Amino acid sequence: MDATQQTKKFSETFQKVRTEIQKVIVGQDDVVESVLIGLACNGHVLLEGMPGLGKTLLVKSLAQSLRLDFSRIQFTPDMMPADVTGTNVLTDSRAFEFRRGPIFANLVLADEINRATPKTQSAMLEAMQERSVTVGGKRMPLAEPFLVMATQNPVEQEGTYPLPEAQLDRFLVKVLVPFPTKDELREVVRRTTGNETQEALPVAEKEDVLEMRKTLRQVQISDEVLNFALSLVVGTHPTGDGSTDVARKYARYGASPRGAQSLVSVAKAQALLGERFNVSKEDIKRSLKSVLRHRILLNFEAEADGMTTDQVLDQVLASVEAKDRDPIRV
Amino acid sequence: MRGWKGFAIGASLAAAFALVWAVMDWANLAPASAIDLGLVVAFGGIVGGLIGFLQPVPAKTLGDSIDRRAGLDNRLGTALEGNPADDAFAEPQRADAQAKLGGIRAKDLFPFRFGRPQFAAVTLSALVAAVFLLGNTPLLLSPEQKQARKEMKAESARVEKVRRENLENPKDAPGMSEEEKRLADEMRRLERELERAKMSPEEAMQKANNIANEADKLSLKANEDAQKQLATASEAMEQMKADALKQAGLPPMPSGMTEMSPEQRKNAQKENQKRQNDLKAQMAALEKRLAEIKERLKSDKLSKAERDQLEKERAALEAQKKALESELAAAKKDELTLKLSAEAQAVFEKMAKNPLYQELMKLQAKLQANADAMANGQKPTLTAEERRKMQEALEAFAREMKDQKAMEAYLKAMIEALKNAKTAGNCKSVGLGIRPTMPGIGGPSNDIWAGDNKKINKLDKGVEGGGKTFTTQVTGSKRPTGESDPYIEFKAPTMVGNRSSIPYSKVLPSYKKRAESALNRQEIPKEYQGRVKEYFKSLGQ
Repeated sequence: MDATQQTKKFSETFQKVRTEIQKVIVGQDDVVESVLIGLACNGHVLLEGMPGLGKTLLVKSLAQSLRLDFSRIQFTPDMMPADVTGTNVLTDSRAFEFRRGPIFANLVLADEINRATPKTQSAMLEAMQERSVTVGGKRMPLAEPFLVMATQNPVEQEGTYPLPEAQLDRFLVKVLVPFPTKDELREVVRRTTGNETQEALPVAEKEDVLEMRKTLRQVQISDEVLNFALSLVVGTHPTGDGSTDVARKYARYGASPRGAQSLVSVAKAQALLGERFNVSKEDIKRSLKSVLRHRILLNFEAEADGMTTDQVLDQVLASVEAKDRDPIRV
Repeated sequence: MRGWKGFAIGASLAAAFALVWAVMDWANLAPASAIDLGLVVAFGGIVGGLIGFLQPVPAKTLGDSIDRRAGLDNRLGTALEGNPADDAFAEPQRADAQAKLGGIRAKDLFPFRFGRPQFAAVTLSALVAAVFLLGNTPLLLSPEQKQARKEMKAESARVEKVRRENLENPKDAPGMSEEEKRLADEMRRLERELERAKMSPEEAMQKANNIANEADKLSLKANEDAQKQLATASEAMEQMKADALKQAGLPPMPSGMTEMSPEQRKNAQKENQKRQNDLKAQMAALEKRLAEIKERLKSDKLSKAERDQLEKERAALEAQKKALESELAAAKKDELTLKLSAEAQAVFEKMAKNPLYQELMKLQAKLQANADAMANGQKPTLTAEERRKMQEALEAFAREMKDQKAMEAYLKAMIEALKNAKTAGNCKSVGLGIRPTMPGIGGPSNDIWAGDNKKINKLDKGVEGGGKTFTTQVTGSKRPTGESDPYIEFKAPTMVGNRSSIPYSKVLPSYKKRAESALNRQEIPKEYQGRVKEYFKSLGQ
């Protein structure tokens, strides 16, 4: 298959899955796109939004449309790591047998991940990073493709354990799930309270997902665009060369190198969706907030000034763009 | 586009420089003309434009710029970096970039915009023009200043006229010498400065006098050179004559021998014969006495004192004899020369009948007369037209006679003398032409040659000069005979405007002394002597 066909197939597969999900999920186009991009980029997705916005249904529909295994873990403070990874149990034949936990699925919905204790969160996030689980000294690889879609409640509640920065960094993107519009809500209510129930049908296979990942890696990126992306990442840092005024004022920590990798990966997916063979600066800009918003830690001053990470990123982008001028000025 | 931008940047920088110049011009520190300032800006623009045009633009830079301008989503920049051999996506990416680039026109991407550099160039140029015009506008001047400016401009035209008539006269040949060119340049500068009318009359006059002095010096030197060249030409002519004698098998003739009339020659021969006879008689007497001494010395009866006396006498007589022999030989040689001089004269007469020789002699005489007149401070006797004709004739002769060494040397010297004569005449004309014309020193004179005293001093009454100075001029000849003075020395005016350029006390004694000397030599007509005495007496008081 040549490059043009690969690109076309990526776009078609993406479109088919999206269309299938949209049969079930009303609105939330950006969320659906981000989840699919996460899947294509071999990354995990952190969703932040109010309960009842269709997150579970989204993952379930995604699994159905791709004929993938799906599991859901509802995190609670009393949950233990073994509840996620699985454990050895003594069988009737007086032998230990490993019972796989919910992590052993292609698509995992980690609901309200910030309700689990750090210990359990850590086990979950380690599995996400390593893509394997070690129990009783035995290492067991997780299925491919493997995508964790974690949700966390934005409202500070009793009994929550916010994810540490190092663990947040492991999510490819953080997507803010907005409350649906009135029209969307009407459609949601109509669909869910009527006789007809929509279900996503399988339109692609896991091999298609693996093929998409392969295609994505081949997308070209020029030095100019890469420099632009790196300037944005460096611009989130409060110190060092390339830091921006806003970062110096409001950031405690900037985005990690993994953030730069993620930014380019997501931008590559955006390029393929645009049926291009190369990443553009627009792709980088479009991916910026979802990729970097959970990787920047703001300081007290930002909190005092009511600054959000998205606002800081907007200003970082403006600062970098101001320096990124046409090399031929006439 | 880079050329366009470079032009604007270059023009801006040049305009900034021109602005400083215009300000200095306003302050009268560095004179500038509108053309100068315009040329500076244009030059800066052209240089900037060339630099911009010739500066290479890397393909990558151009690609990135096109990406931005054409909205190609970084296709072109990426395509320029990609290596199809390494990456499967590189080739289709390049094809994609090429396809997108196809319908784009360069002029749409890089239109001729009027950006900041262009705005800066125009603004600065406008500022330069404004500063220059404000600095030169007559609107801000007082009526006196306006009048002075008008006079200065008129004087500029006069200086130009003198320059054109004397240094750039197309009828005059050969072309301008280096000295004349330099003088012409100085005059052009003065013209420009007068045209701008930004200097005081004193300064203008000083500059004009400097040029006039320079012109006089050049004239003097050129005339001296012309005279030297004429002397060289005369020597070359003598050599030609010697060559002619040699060709006729005759020895070189002493000066004057070939110009004798037959009568003179006959007399000279008679004289020579008489002289030889005298010498022979003296020689015979000497030899007789020497023989006597020789006989006496043979005798043994002579005392030592007598013998010494005789020996001494014999030695003296021997010396006299040698001198007489030598004189006799010379007389015989003269006899022969006199005899041959007739033949030599015939050779020269034949030579003199040659039309070319006659023509050359005529030219040489004219040139000599011209040089002598110039040396005496008189008007050159040769006109420009005559000089041109002489030049043509001499060059034609030089072409014809290039094989004859002596003739070639002669013609070369003549041509050089002619050139120097021209320079001397022109420079003298310039010196005299511009010196009395400056404003503020009295009524300008149209006369060029001071030797013609019928033209100068033609005003009866005192007149107010163009500036602030009064100069009194009188008519009349300087001598009772009415003869023209061979030489009149021009001096800078002693009074300019409201102040004196030369301290009064310094010049009065010398002028007084000269006046007294003139009175003593009876050079001043009797009817004026009283007035002169009274005048200097009043000055002394």
